[in-house]
Amino acid sequence: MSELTSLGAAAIGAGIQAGEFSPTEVTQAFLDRIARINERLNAFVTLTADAALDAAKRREAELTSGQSRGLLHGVPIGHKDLYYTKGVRTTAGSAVHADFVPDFDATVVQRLDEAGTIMLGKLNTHEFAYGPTNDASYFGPCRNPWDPDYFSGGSSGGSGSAVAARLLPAATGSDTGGSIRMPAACCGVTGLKPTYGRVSRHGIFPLCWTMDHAGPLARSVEDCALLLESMAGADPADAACSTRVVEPYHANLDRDLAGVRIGIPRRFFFDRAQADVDAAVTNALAELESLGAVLVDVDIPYIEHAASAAMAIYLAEAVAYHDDQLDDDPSLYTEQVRSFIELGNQVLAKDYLHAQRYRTLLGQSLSEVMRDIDVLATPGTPITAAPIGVAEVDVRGEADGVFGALLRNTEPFDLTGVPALVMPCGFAANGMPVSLQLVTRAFDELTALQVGHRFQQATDWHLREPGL
Amino acid sequence: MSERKPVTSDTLAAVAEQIAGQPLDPDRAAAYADFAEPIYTMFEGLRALPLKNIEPAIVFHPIEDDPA
Repeated sequence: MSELTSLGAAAIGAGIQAGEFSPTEVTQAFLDRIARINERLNAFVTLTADAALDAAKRREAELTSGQSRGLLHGVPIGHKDLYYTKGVRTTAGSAVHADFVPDFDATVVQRLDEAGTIMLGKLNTHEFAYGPTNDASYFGPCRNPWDPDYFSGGSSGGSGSAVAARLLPAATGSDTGGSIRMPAACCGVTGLKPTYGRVSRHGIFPLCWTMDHAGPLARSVEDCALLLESMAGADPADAACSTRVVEPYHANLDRDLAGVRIGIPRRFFFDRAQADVDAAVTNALAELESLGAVLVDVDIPYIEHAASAAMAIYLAEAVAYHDDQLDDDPSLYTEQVRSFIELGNQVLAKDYLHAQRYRTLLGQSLSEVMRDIDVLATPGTPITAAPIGVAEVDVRGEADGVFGALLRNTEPFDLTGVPALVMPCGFAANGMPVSLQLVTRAFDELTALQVGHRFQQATDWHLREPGL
Repeated sequence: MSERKPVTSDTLAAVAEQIAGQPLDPDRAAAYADFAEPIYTMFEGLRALPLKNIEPAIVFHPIEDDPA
């Protein structure tokens, strides 16, 4: 493997700033690796190699003339194919938009371009982001770099797979029920779902307006912090976007964990976790304790209804968005996603609104728990990735549905809108990564990033690379 | 609240055709009924929660004229 493709975003940015290598050298190294490996993973669905090399030359010229855009200057990136990219096909992973070419960039795409990143292409997604495995896509399933017979997790599967396979140092994703964190967990990379409204959703195909979040996937917490700084901020084009000032996350990552209180909600989040997942996360918590953190058992009342509420909201909002397409030609959807969308016609308005009322109840419940702790820690997903097409997996001797199990630990924090960070913390006996999730109060991304960064300074799980 | 009866494929087909205006063929309606019944059971759990004085987590914002 080329040394350059082994580096993360911050390290590449620092090397470019120091003149150790150029944006063109970095871009070419990743393009060469994509050419060798992408066919096995199906992570990239559109490659923009020529445009990327042109952009790299422009970034070099800027540096030569003394203009630096910061640590992301010249860093390659990929965007989930849910993000509008001006002049570049954007399909949402669906035949419905097989030939759609936007005439503007999503706000996040524009901001990351202004920060100096170089887009290498578009990344596979579960069709319209409506599923946690990325096995239903116009382009076919996205595969896991740790074993291409296994799913990547989704819906931002191309992002997780590409970052894990060192086809990219970083990528964008979106998260409605866990779609940044599930592929991060399944592929062994770091993914951050920021607070609802922290990052603009303008120019990203919606799944559920009230639960959609945009955020980064990268090799490390440090790289996620760097990306979030450029992605976050007010956007008048997104009615839900916050006007709060964006913190300098990257400069403030270092923190002593002495006295940091970490809440462990064993009920619900651990009691249906596979044994290997439980063991690896328990070891990670012991590591955090050895770094000075204080572990506290907590319980979140009403958490057991999260899946019911999320289901009502997915079904109702998604069918509303797709209403006209269902009228025009439902056969263009994959069978799986079509069934989810059509079932939305069967949801009563009162159940949708009960679900939205439940979000308030759960938010209050979580807020009460968070008063006594700084961070909540859970397994990112209670199961590891499984072979593509498998509907059920074994959890402590009982069969559990893959979709529900994948979503179980992530969707409560889409419902409550608080930040949630997932990072690798070990491996299961099947060779698949296991992940740790850190959750903080609304708009307190920094605390999750600090705790996660300290964990990654003390461990090397995030540095492990699949043997491709 | 009186007890809910299990949903049937006929009900799903009627709602799709007569209310949503997006008909389902009988095979599809039958397949969806298998999915739908457990989902409605989940929703019953939400209906039983103490939500009396709780508003939905959706806030309406009136459109304000731009002062400029």
